[in-house]
Amino acid sequence: MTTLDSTQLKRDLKQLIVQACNRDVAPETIADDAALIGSDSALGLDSLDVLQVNMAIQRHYGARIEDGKHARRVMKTINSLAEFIQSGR
Amino acid sequence: MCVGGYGLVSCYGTGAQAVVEPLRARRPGSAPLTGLQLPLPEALPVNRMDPQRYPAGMAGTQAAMLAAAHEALTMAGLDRTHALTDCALVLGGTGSLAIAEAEIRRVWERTGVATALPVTSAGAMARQLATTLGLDGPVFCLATACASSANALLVARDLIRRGQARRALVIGAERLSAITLSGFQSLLLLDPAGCRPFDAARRGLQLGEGVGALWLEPVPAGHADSGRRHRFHGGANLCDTHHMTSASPDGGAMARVMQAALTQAGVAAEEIVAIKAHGTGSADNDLAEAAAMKTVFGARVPPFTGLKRGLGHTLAACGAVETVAFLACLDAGFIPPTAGFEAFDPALGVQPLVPAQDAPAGIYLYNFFGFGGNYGTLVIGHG
Amino acid sequence: MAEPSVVYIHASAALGPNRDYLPAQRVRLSADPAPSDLRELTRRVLGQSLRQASHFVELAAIGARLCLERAGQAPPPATAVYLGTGLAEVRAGEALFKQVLPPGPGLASPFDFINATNNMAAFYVARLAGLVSRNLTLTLEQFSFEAALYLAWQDLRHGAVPAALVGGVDENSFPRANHLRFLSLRDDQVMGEGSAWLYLNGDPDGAIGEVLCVETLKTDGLGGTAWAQALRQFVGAQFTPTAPVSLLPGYGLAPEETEALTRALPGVMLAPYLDYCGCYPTAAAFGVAMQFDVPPAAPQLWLHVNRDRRGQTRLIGVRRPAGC
Repeated sequence: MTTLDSTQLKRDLKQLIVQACNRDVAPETIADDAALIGSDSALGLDSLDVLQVNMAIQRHYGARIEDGKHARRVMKTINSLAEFIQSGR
Repeated sequence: MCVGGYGLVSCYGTGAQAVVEPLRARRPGSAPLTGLQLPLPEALPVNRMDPQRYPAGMAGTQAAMLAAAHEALTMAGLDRTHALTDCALVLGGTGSLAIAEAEIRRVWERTGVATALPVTSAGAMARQLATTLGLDGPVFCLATACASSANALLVARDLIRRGQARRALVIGAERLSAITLSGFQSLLLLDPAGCRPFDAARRGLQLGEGVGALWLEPVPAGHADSGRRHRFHGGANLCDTHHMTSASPDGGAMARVMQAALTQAGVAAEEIVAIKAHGTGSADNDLAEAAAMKTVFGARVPPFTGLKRGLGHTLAACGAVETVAFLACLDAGFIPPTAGFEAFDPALGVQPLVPAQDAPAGIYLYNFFGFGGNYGTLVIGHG
Repeated sequence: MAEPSVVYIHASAALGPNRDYLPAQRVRLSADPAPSDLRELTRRVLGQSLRQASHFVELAAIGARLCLERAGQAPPPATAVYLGTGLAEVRAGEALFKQVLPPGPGLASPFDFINATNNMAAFYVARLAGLVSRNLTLTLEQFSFEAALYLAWQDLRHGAVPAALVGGVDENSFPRANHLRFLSLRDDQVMGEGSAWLYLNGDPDGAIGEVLCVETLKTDGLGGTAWAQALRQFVGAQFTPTAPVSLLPGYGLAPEETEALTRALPGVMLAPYLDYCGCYPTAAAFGVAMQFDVPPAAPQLWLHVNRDRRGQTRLIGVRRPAGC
């Protein structure tokens, strides 16, 4: 994937997360390397949000994670999530 | 108050007796799921009732409820000629019953098959069943997730003690549905290898369906316990407000409901012979339950057993299904062992019962913990 | 067993289909109310948004909080919660059907699935108020609120719980034709929704009312006049009214049944309330609760009467005694 694709993907992912989790946050304000999970993170996602995002990325990108710990690792930041999707796994 | 009779339809067949030998031998009653086009793990083990006798849909569900009810009534010495006036019916059943029904209806509608299926609800099914059985006392339906049937037993007991019903039939019913399966998959709570209660490698639930029935009545005057009589000492229900789907990690709320149940029943912790654990096989639930048992019983946690590898997690029904299965094993002389358990988990510090052990007379504890922090613990005697 | 004692109403709240929860906000509905968005009201009343919760959960949570606020005292943590609901989650349930059944992708939304757990609304109510005691969700078609109130009333009378928060909550869904799959309504009945609550305990101090009875009458098969006579007999035996009596007709009553009842009960005043909340299985809660969220007035006794298609009747008796 080209850099441009990657930028677009990250923009889409921010939109997707905000929407899936009903977060009152402008997607573009989320930094690519900001922590997403935990009460002191940029988005404050919890374990249930991780599952909600997991369902959304499975639906949009066909990427399937079947382990909660793995899902939390993948969704650490926008960067790690984009990487996971681009790696096609 | 006592359990005067019980009945069961489970993955092992019709009748409470059908579970005894498989549970003694730790034989899983599951089969790989087929027929649903869902993104689920392959060959997911699930526990179903006989699809020929109890097909998906309302008619099959009612047939299972009636089979379990008649078995319980027969054991209590009531044949179909006995009038059941002023007897209550309390159902532990949630929207999943209606969902399972509606799935079929919608599939039929899509395929153009004419349907005259009424839209139903668990409450409607409870009232219908009471009418069919001639139970003309109060009717209630408890929809409190996996504690539904345990709460139904507690409510039924109150109705009798307060003179609002002479006797009560408690039914717990659960049907598998595509939505339930898909929902638990989305929560990453299904273990593709099946339920492994309190095992170091446990990964989640194994879903099942079933119907259990218990007939509650005051202890008959001058009645010498026949071995079939199980005294219902009491119990408690409370809410763990920690999280929608996960328990207080230290097991604090689970310990409180067990303690409240013992207090309500007037029974000391030392008197408990063994525990029918909830034991879902999920990482968090079993951890919290183990911690709770250690809190309540200290260094002397009684033998405890999880039944969900054998029977599946029958959700709203498990309070009735597992109680009946456990009672049937006690009546056969043994405490059922824990199928699915192989490896000790040092994080839990305790391990469930393997293999079966003789069942002495005494008092047993039954745990049921549901989503929405809804917890119910029952205290029931044996012999 | 403790001697059965009087059960007092200390506060009530009735949240209606147009986000109305004060007497002055209530309007008569002439058609189905539009879908209401409760996110803003949730923030305002609860001081936080319930991001992962559904409309049904918000409905329950707002109503319960309003009721507790009006009680003027924090409820003891041992306060029990009894939530009656005829349909429980409708909207999340519908969403799950679309997601999971063909031609949907087969993936259930975790939020929808969790919200569709029948007792999730009662969980939120308990969590937001710190109530760690008995927590029951009951469903019994259009007698779901009566079932919840009956258990709460009995638990209080027998000293099983120190206080109770009792609600009736149901949501509507759209379009109407689809909602009618769950609820049979006549063409002239609007489909409402609501979340109405009573806070009850055994303390007469500061009470605004009393629960007198929650009764089931086996009136199956009785026609309008015979049915009304049966109720008259029951009411005559049960009450010696010292205050004016108002009749709150539930949505299961046919117009001719209401008429027969007003004829059979001399001096009774008709107090229709469905115009304000619309028809839904637990509308009875709204009818009862809205009598107690107005400034105290003269003593009065209300009888809520409902009947279902099986012919069974359920009656709730509440009153505002003198001095309340």
